[in-house]
Amino acid sequence: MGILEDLAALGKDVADPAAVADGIRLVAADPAGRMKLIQEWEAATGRPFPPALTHDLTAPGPVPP
Amino acid sequence: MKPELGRSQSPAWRGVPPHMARRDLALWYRFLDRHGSEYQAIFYDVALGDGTDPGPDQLPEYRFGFIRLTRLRADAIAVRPAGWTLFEVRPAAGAGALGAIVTYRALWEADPPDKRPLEAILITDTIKPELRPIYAGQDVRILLV
Repeated sequence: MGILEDLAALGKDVADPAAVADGIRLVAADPAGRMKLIQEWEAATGRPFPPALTHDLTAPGPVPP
Repeated sequence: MKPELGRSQSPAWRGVPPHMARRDLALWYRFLDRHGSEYQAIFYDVALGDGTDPGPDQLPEYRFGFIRLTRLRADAIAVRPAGWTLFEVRPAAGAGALGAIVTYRALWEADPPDKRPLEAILITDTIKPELRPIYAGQDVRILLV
């Protein structure tokens, strides 16, 4: 299904970037996979995803334990 | 670590989920035909647990990939507004299926995606009668299809 359906299934408000970020964290654990989801959300909604949240989701950073 | 759910599928989807054996698939399709409409979406091959971290000296892509590959995998987890359902699909289920379900449930509950409850269901075609109360004692529902 599309990203909006994925997020809705997770009970996330698809119009709220913070909720979208929570959902994306659950769908993909790796930065590259998350970036694809962000781009898909942007294409589906016609809205830019907040850069700060994009950074939080896709920064390589330390791998979770 | 939270589960990595991957992309969702509609319960009407009849493709081949990753790592689901053909003989498991026949049972799964029978289950979906009868009960799929009870769920909003289904996540397949859900990654659970921490996996193995090869260390910070590795390239991030390799590191993430290795961790993902070494996490445990639940056959399917479905969601609906009331909560989550963990499925283990196992023809002629024995005690091993119970161990898998209990393990996956414990890993899920160690860091769940939200506060909604998780139900555990074994989907099988046959099971020895003496195992039924043991599954029930672990709060695992058995669904014969």
